[in-house]
Formats: sequence, C-alpha cells, structure tokens
Amino acid sequence: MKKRKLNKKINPAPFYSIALAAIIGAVIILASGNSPLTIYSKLIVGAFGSGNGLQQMLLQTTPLLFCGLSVAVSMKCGLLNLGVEGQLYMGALASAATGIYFQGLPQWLHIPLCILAGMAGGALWAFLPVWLKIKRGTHEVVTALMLNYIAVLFIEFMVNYPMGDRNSSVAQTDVLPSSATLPKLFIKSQVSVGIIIGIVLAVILAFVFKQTILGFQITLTGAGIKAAAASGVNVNRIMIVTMIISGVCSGLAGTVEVMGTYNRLIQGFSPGYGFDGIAVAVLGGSPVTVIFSALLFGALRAGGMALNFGTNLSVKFITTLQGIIILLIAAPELSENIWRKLRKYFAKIKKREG
Amino acid sequence: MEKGVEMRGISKAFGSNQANQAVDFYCNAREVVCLLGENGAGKSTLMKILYGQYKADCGEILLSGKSVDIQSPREAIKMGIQMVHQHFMLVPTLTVTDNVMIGKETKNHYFYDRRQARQVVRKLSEEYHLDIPEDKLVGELSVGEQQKVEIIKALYHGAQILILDEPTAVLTPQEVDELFKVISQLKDDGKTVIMITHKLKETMAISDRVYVMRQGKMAGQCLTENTTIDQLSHMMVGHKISKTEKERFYSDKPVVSLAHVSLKNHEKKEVLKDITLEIREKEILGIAGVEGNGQMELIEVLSALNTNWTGSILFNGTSIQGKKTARLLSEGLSCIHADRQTNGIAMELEVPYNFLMGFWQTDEYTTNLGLLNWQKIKMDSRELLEEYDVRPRDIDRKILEFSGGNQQKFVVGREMKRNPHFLIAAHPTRGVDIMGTSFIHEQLMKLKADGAGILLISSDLDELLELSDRIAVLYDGQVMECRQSSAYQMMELGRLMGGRACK
Amino acid sequence: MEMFISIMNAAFRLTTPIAYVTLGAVVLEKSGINALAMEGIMLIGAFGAAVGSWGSGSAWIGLLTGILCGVAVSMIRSWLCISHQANQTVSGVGINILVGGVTAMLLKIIWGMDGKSETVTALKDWSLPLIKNIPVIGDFLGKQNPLAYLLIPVLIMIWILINRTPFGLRLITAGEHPDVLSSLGLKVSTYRYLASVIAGVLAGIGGAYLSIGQLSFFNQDMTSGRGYMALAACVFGRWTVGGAFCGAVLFGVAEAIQIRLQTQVQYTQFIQMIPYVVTLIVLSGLVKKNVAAPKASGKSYREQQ
Repeated sequence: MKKRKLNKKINPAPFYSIALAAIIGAVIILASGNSPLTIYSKLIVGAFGSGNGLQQMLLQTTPLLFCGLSVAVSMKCGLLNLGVEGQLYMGALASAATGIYFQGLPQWLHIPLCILAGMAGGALWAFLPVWLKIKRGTHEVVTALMLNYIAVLFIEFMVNYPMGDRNSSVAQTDVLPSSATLPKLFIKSQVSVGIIIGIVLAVILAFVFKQTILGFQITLTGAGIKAAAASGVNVNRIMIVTMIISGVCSGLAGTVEVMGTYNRLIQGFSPGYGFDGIAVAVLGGSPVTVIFSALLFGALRAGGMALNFGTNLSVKFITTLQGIIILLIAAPELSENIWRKLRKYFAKIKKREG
Repeated sequence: MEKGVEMRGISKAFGSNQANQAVDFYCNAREVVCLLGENGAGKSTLMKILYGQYKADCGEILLSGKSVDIQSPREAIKMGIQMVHQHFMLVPTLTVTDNVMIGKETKNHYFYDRRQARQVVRKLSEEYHLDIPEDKLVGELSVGEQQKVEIIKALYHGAQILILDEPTAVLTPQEVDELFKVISQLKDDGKTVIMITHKLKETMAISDRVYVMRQGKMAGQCLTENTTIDQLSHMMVGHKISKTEKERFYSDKPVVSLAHVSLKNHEKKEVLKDITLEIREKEILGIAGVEGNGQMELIEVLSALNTNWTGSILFNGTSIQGKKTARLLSEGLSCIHADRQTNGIAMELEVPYNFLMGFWQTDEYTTNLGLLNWQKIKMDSRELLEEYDVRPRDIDRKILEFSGGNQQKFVVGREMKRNPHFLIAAHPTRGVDIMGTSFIHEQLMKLKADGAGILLISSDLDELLELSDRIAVLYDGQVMECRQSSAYQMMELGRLMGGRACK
Repeated sequence: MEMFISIMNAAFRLTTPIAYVTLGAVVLEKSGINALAMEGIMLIGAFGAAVGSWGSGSAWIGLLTGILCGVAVSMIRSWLCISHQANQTVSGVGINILVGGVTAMLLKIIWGMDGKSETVTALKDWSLPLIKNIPVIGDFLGKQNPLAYLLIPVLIMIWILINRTPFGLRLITAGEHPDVLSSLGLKVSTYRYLASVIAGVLAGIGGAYLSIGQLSFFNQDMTSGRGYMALAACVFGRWTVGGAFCGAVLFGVAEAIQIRLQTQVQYTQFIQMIPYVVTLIVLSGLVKKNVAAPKASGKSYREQQ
C-alpha cells in the first residue's frame, strides 16, 4: 500500500517564533499592569470583532502584502531588499502623476496605465542599488537606504509644490480622477480591490518560481551562486531581474495605496511599511505563505489600534511584538531551543503535580 | 639519544576513513625532514595532530623524551611547534609587522609599540635573509613573500619546530630556491623543519631524511643521501598489480583540442603553461597529477568558468572563445566538478531541483508553453536514483541530507544522463563505495563506446590506468608527458607526478 | 558673517550625535558585526537618558542610564549574532523595529502621552570662560553642550584604541580574517562582544545628546535615521575612524547648511537631499571595488571548538 507523503516539510521555526513572541508579549503586558487575557482578547476583537475592524485589517494587510512579497522575492535570490520604502514611494508618485496628468482617459485604459507606471517607478528604484553593486562594487545596503531618504524627500517636494492640492492645508496631491481610482471591494469602505491584486500577484509569483525556468534560475542562484554559475546561469543578470521584480512589488504597494485606499498621494502615508515588509517576508518565506504572515501582521495592527483607547498600551505594543518576532526568526536555532526547554520545563511541572 | 619530537603509534580515523594507522615519526634539532606522499596519504593529518588541531585516537607524542598532550594549536605554539599552512593565516589589509605581531604585540605600557615591533621584524628578516619590507601591506606582497611573512611570524612566536605544508605548491622556481636558502639557515640555527610535500626533486634537494606515507601508513623512512628519486617514487606509489590489458580504441576525430593554452591567476602567476592536448572521440584521456598542479584551472577553462586564457581551444571543431557556460553545456559539454558541494549541487534544494541543474539549458523538461514539466523531472530523478543506487531513494529530501558518496553518485549520474559529447570527470568516484565505483566505471566505458570523449582527472592511479587510453601528466601547470597508458611504468608515473621529467 | 556663525553653531550641534554613533558604528563594523542596529541602539540611548533624567532629576544620571541602555541592546543583538548565528542584517532591522515599538509603548505607559515625553532635566550648555570671548570663533566654540566638547577627546581615544593598541589590532583581525585569531588561540567572540559594548556606549551617548542635550524631552522615533547615516558615514570613510568622522561632519554640516538655507530657498527638500546624494555619488564614484569593507563583516563566524 502506498502512503502519500507530505511533499513539503513544514518549517516549524515561524510557529515557534510566534508562540514565543506571544509569551514574551504576555510578560510585557503583565509588567505594564494589565492582564494578558484582556489585552489579547481586545486585539482579537479589534481585528475580527466588527466590520470596521475587519476593514482596518484588510487596509493594513494590503501594503504589508506587497512589501512582504518584494522582500521575499529578493530573498529567493539571496539578496535582501532594504530599499522597499523608497521604491513604494516612487511607485506611488509615478502612479499618482499618471493619474493626475492624464485626464480624460477611459477607466479600462487609465487604471492599467497608472499601475504600469507604479510598477516602473518601483522597478527603477530597485534597479539602481543592484546595478551599482555589480558595476562598481558599491555597498548595496547603504545605497538602498540612501535612496529611501531621497525618495521620501522627493515626494515631499512633489506633493507640496508641483502636484500639491492648492485648497488643502495637508501636504497631499489633488484627488485622482475616478478613471484612475481602483474600485472598492465593499460599498462604503476604504478597502479597494488592491488586496485582490496582491493575492493574485502572490499566486503569480509563486507560479513563476515553481514553474518557469526563470524562477528556477533565481532559486538556484539563491541556493548556491557558484553551483548556479557552473550550471550556466548568468548570475549577474538574474540578480538584476530579481531586484526589478522586487521593485515592481514595492512599487505596487505604493500604487495600490494611492489608487485604492487614499485616492491621492499623501505625504508620509507609509508608517514604515518597507521595513515591516522585511518582518512579513522573514516570517512568511515564500510568496503564498507571505499572504498569511501579512494577514497576521495586518490583524495585529488593526487589533492594536483598539489598544489606543482605554488601555495604557498603544498600537506600538504591536510594533514591539513585530520586533520580537523578527529577532526570533533571525536566530531560528534559538527559538527552537527555547521552545524545547520550555516544553521540558512544563512537562516537569506537570509530572510534579501529577 | 633523545629525540626532539617523537610520535609513536599514531592512529586517527575520520568516520570510515583511516587517515593514520600506527604511524611512527621522529625528528631532531638541526634537521630537515620531508614527509612525502600523494593526496590522502595521511601526511597533513599526522602533522595536524602534532600541531594540536586534531587529537589522535591512539598513540603518543613525546617532546624531548617526555610525553605531552597537545590539546590545541595554542599549546603547540607554546611548546615551540608552529605550522605554516597552505592557505596563509595573514590579513591582507595589515602590514607585515602587524601580521607578525598579532597575539604577541610588543608593548609600551598599554600601547602597541609599532616602532619596536618594526625593529624586531626587521631583525628577524635580516637574520634569516628573508628580506621582507616590514611596512608593506601583506596584500601587496607576492605569494612567496607572504610565505616568508608566515615564517617570520612563526619564528617570532618562538618556533623551534616548523611544519611547512606543501610550501612550494604556490612558488615559482626562483622563490623555491630562496625558500630553501631560508630552510638551510633555519636548520643551521638549530631549528627543526618538517616539510610536507609530494615533490620528489625538492625532497632530494633539501631534506636530511625522508618519510614516505601511503594510504595512512608509513611506507618507508630513509636518509636522503642513501636514496634516489626512483626509490622514493616507488615507495610513494607502491606496487600495483596491473590489470589485464583492455581493448583500447579511439577514433582520430578530436572532440576537444587545446593548443598552447596558458592562464595566469589573479596574482599573475602562470597556472597553465602552454598546454597542448587533444581528446578524441571514443577516448578517455586521463590526467595524472597531484592536486594543485593546474587541474582545477584546466576544468574552469574548458567549462568557460574562467575566460582569461590565451591560446586556442576548439570544441567540436569551433573555438569556445567568447562562449558562455550555458552555451557549451547545451552543445554537449558535461562536467563533474571536483568540489561537488560548491559547484556540483545546491545543498539546500531537493533532488528534483538538483537534477534540473543539468538539464535546464535545453528544453528537454519544458512543456510546449515553456513551463517546467515537474512530473517528468521527478520521474527521471527517481530513475536516476534507482540507476545509480543513490540512497535513500527519496526525491523529496534536500541533497544535503545525502552522504558524500551518494551525492557523488547523483552528480555523476546526472552528468552522464545528459549524453554529452565531451565529459570532464574530476575525481568521479571520490567517496563512492566499491560497487558504486565499478558501476560508474562501466558507465564511463559505455559513454566512451557511444562516441564521447572523456577527460578523466583522478588522484587514484589505479583508476587512471584502468580506464584511460592515454594519460597526460600535469605538473606545475605543464603537460609533462602524454602517451598511451600501457606505455607507462608505475615508477615513471610517480616520478613525473613529482616533477621529474624523463631524460 | 552672522550666517557663518549660525551655520557653524548648527553644525556643531547637528554633528555631535551623528559623530558619536558613527564612531560606534566603525568599531562594531571593524570587529565583524554590521552596524545596522545603530538606529535602535541610539534610540534606546535617547529614551534611557530621558527616563533616567526624569527619574533622578539629574541629567548626568540620565546620561549614565542612556549609556547602560545602549550597551544592553547592543549586547542583545550581538549575542543573537555571535552565539546563535543570527542573520546580521535581519537581526539589525529587528532591533530597530523593536526599540521603536518599545520606546513608544513605554512613552505612553510612563507619561501617559502619545509621542512625546514630559520635559526632563537636560545637560546645560557650558560656557568656556576664555574661549567665548574670542571674536567669531568664540561665538560658536565657546558655548556648546559638554557632550560636544567631549567629542574630540572621544574621537582621539577611539582612534588610539583601534590603531595603537593590541586590542585594536586584534579587533581588526576579528573583522578581516577571524580564522587568524582562532589559529593563534584567541577567541573571536571576545573581541566582537567588547566592540559591541563600545558601540553601545557611543551610540548611547549620541542618543542621550538628542534627548537631554540638544532638547530636553524624548520624542517618538527622534533618531530619524541618524543611525543609518552613521552606517553611510562609516562606508564613506572606508571603515577608518578618521574617515568615518569626516563623513559624520559632512552630514552635520550639510544638515546645518540645509536648515539655514530653508529660510532662503523655497524648495528645501533638494537641500535636505544633499547629504544622501553626496553619499551616493561618493560611494559609486570614488570607491572602486568594495575593497574597504572588513572581509568578515556581516557573516557569522562559528568558533572552532
């Protein structure tokens, strides 16, 4: 009799990290004078307990999903994209400009055009660090970080002057014409079809990595750059292509926020999604599992907002949890060891009581 | 008379590999001893035990008659034993002086007194005629000069016994002469020098005594003045029973022709010198030679991983100049690389991915839409595991979960399955058991009969003699000799591999 | 002239925090651990200083607590990397996010306010008696924060430590070629931990300057990327103490000029971009092949047992 084997071994590390983070979080909650049960249930209710909460969750998840995909793609090739923040802003700018300056186009043309512009903006910003690294040996971490700041400042300029809304005191552009606005997912909600685009993108990326020769070359380069070169892969070209795809994802993060959530480009609209994307990607690992880690972080953020009212904790508690999760994932051996020790400890206590 | 350093009955095993078996060794002050042998003979292991890097399974070490327990290199250094490794322990961005001083810096109160340090280094340099400018960055020195820095460092840290691991492997002939002058000086100064080498001529030139190791055992020991190169090569290579003559056949049509191919490495040293070779259809050309004499570079050049060569290389009649690896692979080249874990497989990926590594350059495993046909890939992967007896028969495992021997069988199988017109096989049976080895040999003969040309690089002379139609001996980047394998005498092969040309 | 004095004044004030963190970054990078976590270490230093000053009423105690917090976080990060082979880049980013969250969270718990703490006792500027009377120079050199005055002695001390002591030589080796240290029987982890302590102290001082030197309160995310600027200055200075310091000065002066020009130029964002663009140009133009990075930086090292 043939047994069906599990094709993929599930990596337990992310689950250990989440579990440990929850425990550490409970300790922090206790130290702040609250009850972990109260706080955690507030989180859950905040995210899932109401229509508003669910919407907030989807709103938070969308940019996290794109940014997570961006970093996950780069990680497949053995690189870490630290420039996601700048890339998403450039994507936002490109799509907003295409939306505002090309008026009078029909929606079926305008929306794809804006999306393409957003993808290009992100792709360009991701291309620069890797190109400089290959051509001139420049430290790609610093170039990516510098480009983040340059992008943010450039958008600040654009949003305050050329593209700024004259009638508003807030630093933002005009509203995008309806031809360049993404349709909403539910009536009377801010959530747009952007999240659907994200999920579709994740599936497409997963497909590319699994089923195409390009995906194979990227995976091989990430797993062993010398073995890849020995089997004929042009590793420089693959690295550039990977970063461009990564940039497309980050560009889309900004694009979807502009065209879907806010319908305009607002200065500073990203509270650090670029770096959160690293957390999402590191926890998720591959394009499809990134969907779930993005949902997790999105739910945490939405729930976290509920903490702002009535408790002395704030949504920043969620940021703290995020940081803990990243640290635990960064040292996978550690999480497993701690988890094992805890299990032994609890088993001993049980034995003593029993 | 008390012996300076004595090792008695040393045995050491790594898993199933008995690296040293009941080895006896001794050396005294004012002596140069050469430890001679091929790759895998056990010389490095023995010296690493002396240097404290490994611990012997049994046996003892005596210093000046007293039994000692050397737990770590730091203890060995304290006892005056120093090793100059093949891969230098030097920091290229620091000066010679700084490199020598690390760990035992000359101090002025709490500060590092560079002026005093420079004087100390200069004095040592002059005393032993090493002539190294103490302020130069190590990265700017030639390899020979870097080696001298290592010697100064060893002397500064108080070495009485210096172990040199294949010191001449990376040197030009002039640098070798200089090194030997230094070794003589060290000997006159009362030091002991142990030189690990495979080079016969140099052994005869510099040593007082020679130890020959073979397959983990001490094959012989003699005074240099009482022996000859022939005797040494005989001891090194041993009495091998030659197998019955196999039918040698090959066509006249060349698959790969190299003409006057030379290659310089990034330190501007010539690692391939004027190589002219031909591999014909239905031929196995064996390359004999100790590792490090140009084999790696030859492989890299032929597979387009290194394109800085001069000369002419023709593959299937056309020059490979300007062609990329992927192109050559799709034109019928296959390569079993020497370092499989770096070049042959991707450790963290599962079997099907590693299988595809050999085939993605063509559309053998893509569907009409250009997508990967995983069903076919998995099926053929399973078949490969079956055919080459790779265990466990589980294609869902990552390749790092397989033992070295099984990994090797996998790589060999993959490359053979590509039905190449030209196969480069570097150490194809390394780590493989007897059954697997004989199966691989069978496949190689089959491939040859089908019309392919095979370049076989191996440190196993038995294998070379059994499989090759012709054998070329590579020494120091040059082809020493190339003729029918039946025309070689065992001793002659050993001599050629050690660098001594015939007549 | 007046503009010159005000720019120099601003330059001093703005360079000081960046310079401290940069020195810490150089020491850490040279030992073989990358300095991505400096942003978080600086932030916890700023926070710890504010809390210490608020709790004790003395700014100097605040400085001490700031330093202690910086060292603690630096050691945690290094412990993950050294003893548990954690990915240095991911753990660096993780520390930055964690500290950002923890400090903001504690802000609300301690002071009940969102985003900003109460005013705390700050280190008062010193007025150097003779120097302040020198025309022009005295106007900006004579009245600065004690931490600013401390900067130059600290710079000299760090330079001597790295370049003129056995410890410095071994630290450099740990970053360039850790095998060499191991082969001599020295432990690579010792030097990396010590480097982490030094980096923690320096970044802690830099952070403390922000909350109890330049200002007198803690603001959420008040480091605003200075930790990353420190990394850029380190790369700019080719991982040398002096060069990195010059990079930090470049950033400080550029920021000072930018603030001054803001009132005179309309599109200030381009002025603000100057330090970042300059860094980019310098990195891609002048540095030929990335030969300057400590070879072992960013890679974890398994100590030979």
